[in-house]
Amino acid sequence: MNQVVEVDSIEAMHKFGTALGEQLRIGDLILLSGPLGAGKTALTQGIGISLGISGITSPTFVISRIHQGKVRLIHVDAYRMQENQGDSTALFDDLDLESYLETSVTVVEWGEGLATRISDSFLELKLSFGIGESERIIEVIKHGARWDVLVL
Amino acid sequence: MINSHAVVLGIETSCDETAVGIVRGRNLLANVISSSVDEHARFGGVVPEIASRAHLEAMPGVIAQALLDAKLNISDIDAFAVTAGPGLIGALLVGTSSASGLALALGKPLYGVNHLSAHIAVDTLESDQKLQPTIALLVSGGHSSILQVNDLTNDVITLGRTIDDAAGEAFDKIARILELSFPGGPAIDLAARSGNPTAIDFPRGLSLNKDLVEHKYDFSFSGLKTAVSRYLQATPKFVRADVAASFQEAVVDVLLTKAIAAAVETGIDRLVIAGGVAANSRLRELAESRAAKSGIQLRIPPMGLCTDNGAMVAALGALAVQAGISPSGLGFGANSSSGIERPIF
Amino acid sequence: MNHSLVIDTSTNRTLVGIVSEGTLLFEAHHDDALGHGEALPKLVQQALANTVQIDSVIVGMGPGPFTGLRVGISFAQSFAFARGIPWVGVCGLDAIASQISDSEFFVAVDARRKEVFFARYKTGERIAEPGVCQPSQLAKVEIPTYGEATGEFPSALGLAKIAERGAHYLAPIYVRRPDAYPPPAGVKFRPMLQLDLVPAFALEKSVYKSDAWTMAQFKEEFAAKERTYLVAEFGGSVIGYSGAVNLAGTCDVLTLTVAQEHRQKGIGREMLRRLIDWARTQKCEAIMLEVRVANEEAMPLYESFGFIEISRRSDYYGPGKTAIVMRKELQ
Repeated sequence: MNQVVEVDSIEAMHKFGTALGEQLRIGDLILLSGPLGAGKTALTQGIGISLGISGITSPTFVISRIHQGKVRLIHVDAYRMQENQGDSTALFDDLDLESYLETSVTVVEWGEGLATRISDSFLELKLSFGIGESERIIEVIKHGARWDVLVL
Repeated sequence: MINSHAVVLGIETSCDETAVGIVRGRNLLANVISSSVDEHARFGGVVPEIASRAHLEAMPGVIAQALLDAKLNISDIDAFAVTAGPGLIGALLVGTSSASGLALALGKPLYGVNHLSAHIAVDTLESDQKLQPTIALLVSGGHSSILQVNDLTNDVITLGRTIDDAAGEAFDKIARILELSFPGGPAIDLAARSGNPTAIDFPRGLSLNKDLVEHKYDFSFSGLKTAVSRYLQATPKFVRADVAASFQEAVVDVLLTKAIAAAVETGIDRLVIAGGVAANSRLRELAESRAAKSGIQLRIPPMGLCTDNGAMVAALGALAVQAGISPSGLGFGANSSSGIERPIF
Repeated sequence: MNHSLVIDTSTNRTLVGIVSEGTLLFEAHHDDALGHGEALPKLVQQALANTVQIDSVIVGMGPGPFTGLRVGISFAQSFAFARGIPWVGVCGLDAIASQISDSEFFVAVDARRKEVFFARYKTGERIAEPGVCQPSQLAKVEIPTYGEATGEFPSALGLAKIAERGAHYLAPIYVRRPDAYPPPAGVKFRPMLQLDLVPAFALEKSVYKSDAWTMAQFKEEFAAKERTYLVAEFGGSVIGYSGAVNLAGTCDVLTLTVAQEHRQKGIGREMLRRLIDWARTQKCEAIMLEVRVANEEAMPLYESFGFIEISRRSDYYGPGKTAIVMRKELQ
């Protein structure tokens, strides 16, 4: 059974991200999925807080942004690639994220079907809407032994 | 050599566009953009040419075309300027490497510049206006910021910025939800013309009193995105034009309210609006009336200079040359998150 | 005296050199996987301080990780343009190979994702297109491997030597599919259905003639277990099909067929990619296929996916028709 966490506000989402961020190491790959507005960027902002990084905003247009905090954080948004199945892998490969993978924490929004090209080991967080307006549900799915020690 | 008539070639590759512009002082000589907007539309919103690979392929042609348009040889260029950040690292590196190659080959100075500063610098082109402090509202797919520009080449302060999505991004995402064409900005602009902007009261992000304490000049468009989405789900018989108009109104309203407030409250009564979203007709219309009402002098560059382009980079380079600023040296590299505190690298 | 500025950024090393008619006049490098952008201009400046006259530029075109690779190529093409001199692109693997004297060997450089870009060389010539695979796959073939892992990098002299030979590339060498080929527009890929059997059989006969499967074989295959069959459909017609079987943990490609008039469009590539994905979901340890020796046009496709020749079977397709057996490890 995958762990499911509920948060009821953006602040709570940030706190969740921070708690997760404190356990991250370089080489980690995190995949965030969920519909528009589900809180993927908010979660990433929370991770940023734990790494001493502020000013994290949606990288939809630029696709990938590099932040330097306690460690390097690569924040990717593959939203613009998701439409076209075939081309999307070429475009994703073109980002050359794997060159940064081992020496950074990499967070990919909208990376389903793409992020797995660069690593078999990753933490998948599926975000969805809850009942209330600001409620969100986070399903935590661990891929690879590295994530056995994660406690959320 | 340092004079106000320096011929500067500027390269911009921070995101989608491979762009080269040439200026002589404040005169625009060439502005070439290898844009793939048509291909965007064909692929239904996904850009096949956003890859850094495309920048590499397009660069020689764009440089050559710019020189042709300016009726110059590469050896006529006095200095080079290139966007060194912020942006997509792979794309930026094609630009900075190309610019370094040109500069080193000819033994000319090279300036790495900040992308947002360049957007504002474009306002100096084809203008005799004395350079003065100005407030700048920079709105595009990737940026939504209010800047206080005391000196374009070395004193720019961020008064406010988006804490989540950029305005242009919001236009594209809402356009997709509304099943309008790509790019979303023009599509919503068009659809909104036959719609009622007050039909639905969508939220103006970070406008409540409690928000204004910490986020006076900051923007937030993520909540608006969710609000529109929720509205559509709850209203099966929604009127597309009204949704488009009301959404657009919410964005434009908050952008201008805060930008003008910044101009008024800092006492700097000039406002420049730049970036792709500056093309929006409702933004321009409302900007004019509100600026006039507040006694603010408003400037919006022509469209070809509002979206990402090389001329703006060349313009900032020319300003740096004129101000006697030292070139950037060779090892500056590209910086994905470079801040506006460093207009020149 | 012809002086060439030599640049390579296809590995973790940023290399700059000046070579004149086979003589090395200058060489400097900087090792940093993410530092090419900052290092290259500085090294070139050093080179130019050493030698003012430059008549041409030689640059490594990969294969290699993109970020670094593009730094060198964009710099080289701009520098050459500004000076009004020609520039020439060469394969970095070839440059390394030119410094090796063994009769048969692989050259491999880091491709990230725990893989390497590699090429095979025999008696001084590259005998296949560069491919990508896991290092363990190369280790299984009993010839030595040279490259980044053994401290070999493209050198200025090596790059200049290859440029001299005339094996020039005008564009970066993109090996890892689907970098090089976008999928064909308008072509639908889907599992084979009962009603595809007739058109597929017609295509089989037109392509393979006397070597074609019979309809009975087709039906039997289609109905059998542990198999996957898919078709490529365009404009309502079947223009290609492929199939593979899971034989106790090793996937064997049974057929990969594309109508003559639709070749070289990426259809075979896409079908092969799907077969490999299927083999992975089946948790196969490897995927194998046999190629007709005469079928040269198919070899580069398989090589680019990292298939390596492991043996030859004489008379496999009939008297005098040899098969090249190729294998790609999946784990």
